Amino acid sequence: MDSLIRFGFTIEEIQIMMDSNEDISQVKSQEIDGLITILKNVGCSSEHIKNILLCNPFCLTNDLNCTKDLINTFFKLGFCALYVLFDSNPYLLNMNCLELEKLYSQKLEEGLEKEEIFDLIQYNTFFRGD
Amino acid sequence: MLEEYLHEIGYSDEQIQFLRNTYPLSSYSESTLLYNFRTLYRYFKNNNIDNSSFVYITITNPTILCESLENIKNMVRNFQTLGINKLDFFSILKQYPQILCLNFSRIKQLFNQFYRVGFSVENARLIVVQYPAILNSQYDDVNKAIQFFLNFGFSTLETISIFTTLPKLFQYTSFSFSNMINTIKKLGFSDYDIRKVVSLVPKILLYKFDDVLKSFRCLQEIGYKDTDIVFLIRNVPIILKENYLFLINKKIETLLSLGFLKQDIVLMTFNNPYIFLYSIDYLKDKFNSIQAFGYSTDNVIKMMRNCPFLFGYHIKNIEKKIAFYKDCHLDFLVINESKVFFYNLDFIKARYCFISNDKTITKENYSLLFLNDRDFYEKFSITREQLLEGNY
Repeated sequence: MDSLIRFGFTIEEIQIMMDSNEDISQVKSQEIDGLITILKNVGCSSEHIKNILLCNPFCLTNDLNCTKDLINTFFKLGFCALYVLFDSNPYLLNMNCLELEKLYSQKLEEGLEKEEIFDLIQYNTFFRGD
Repeated sequence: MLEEYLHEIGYSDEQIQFLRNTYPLSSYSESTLLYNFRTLYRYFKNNNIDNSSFVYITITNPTILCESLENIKNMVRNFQTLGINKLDFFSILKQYPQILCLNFSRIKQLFNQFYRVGFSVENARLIVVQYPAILNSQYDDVNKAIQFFLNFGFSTLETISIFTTLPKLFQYTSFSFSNMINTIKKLGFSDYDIRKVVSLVPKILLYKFDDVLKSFRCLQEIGYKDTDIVFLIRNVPIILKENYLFLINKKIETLLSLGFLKQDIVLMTFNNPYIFLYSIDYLKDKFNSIQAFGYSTDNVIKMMRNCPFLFGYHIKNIEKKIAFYKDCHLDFLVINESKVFFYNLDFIKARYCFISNDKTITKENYSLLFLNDRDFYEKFSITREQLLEGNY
């Protein structure tokens, strides 16, 4: 919790996150710092990060390596300015890289163009898949 | 003297009698027993074992009083070589006093088995701390449990994560796992769904079918179809965690009391199932905060129905977006085209500044702001990266 306070979250905001995701209390400070660093590295400002974590407190308990793999997959598929993506749709951080790749391939096979898939992923959290 | 001492610690008369009659303690002299109790008690007390735990440990495992202190210290040191520090050891001892009677070579074999599969020292430590009874498990049983998951298609990492999160799964057999999985399949989940749901919420394997069915009924009553529910749970399996299930009905009541219709709730939660995971107070506060910007109840309902992410966004994020669209004289979008809230403000501002260099954005042409990247490029010959970098 120290990491979140140091970052600038208020006690009320931390309580809100914990009310949604009680597992946050088990997360080590270095993991929270790690996630914040990852988000900063893709261009997220402090405001973006606050929005992302409050909206989607579950990303705090995701495995950091999975988050890194997910971000690498977004880059691999051609997404850029990930801070725009994650600030718009913080829930995307709960996907895993295999899901993202599968969804992308599936939509390509359905005939969607790259830009349409980008829009679909950016503005819809939940996809009717298989 | 011994009885007085034991009473001080907290033993009852029956417990003292039990210990006196237990072999080999029954063959020890009073002074030897007193010495052993005092030595052990002092050592345990220095390691934060309180009186009631001490009583529990010695009653559950009386032969510990026959062990020399040196042997016990050796056991503690042995466990340290496996990554189980003193604090963990004594925490385990409180739950599982039998730890001191176990054959250490067998325990080492168990840990090596974990490492061979890919569990780290930390994974193995967490498993033992949460579920000490694993220390007395058979090698074959542990192996079969792990193999079942690998054979079902879980990756090694997923399998490790599942057992580290819920090590008590080791007490179940492959037959039990098959039954658990078949139960979940009855609800319409595919093997892929099951892998996704179980790796995120391993506890679902321990839920009674009736409880899982209750959550299904609850969601059906809201208005979801069965296929929708499978879709929902597959994407947000955490919704099956007990405390969320219990509260879903209360959250629906809260949303209804705010003025949303049932069909609104179905639509909003389908597009953003995380609404079910926010607390009731948070949902109410968010609604009221948006209303405090000067919008009527009907308008707030309209906005949130059209953009369910509003439930999640930071209120300052929402405030800035509202202020921006008002400044641009596009405030009608906030209520009538609330999907504009989906767009990151930096991105929209960048587009607004770019387009404004050439033309005024009005009610007639505002859709230019929200074109997809391909269409925007076709119209303005600028990519998203160039736009955001101000590279034009």
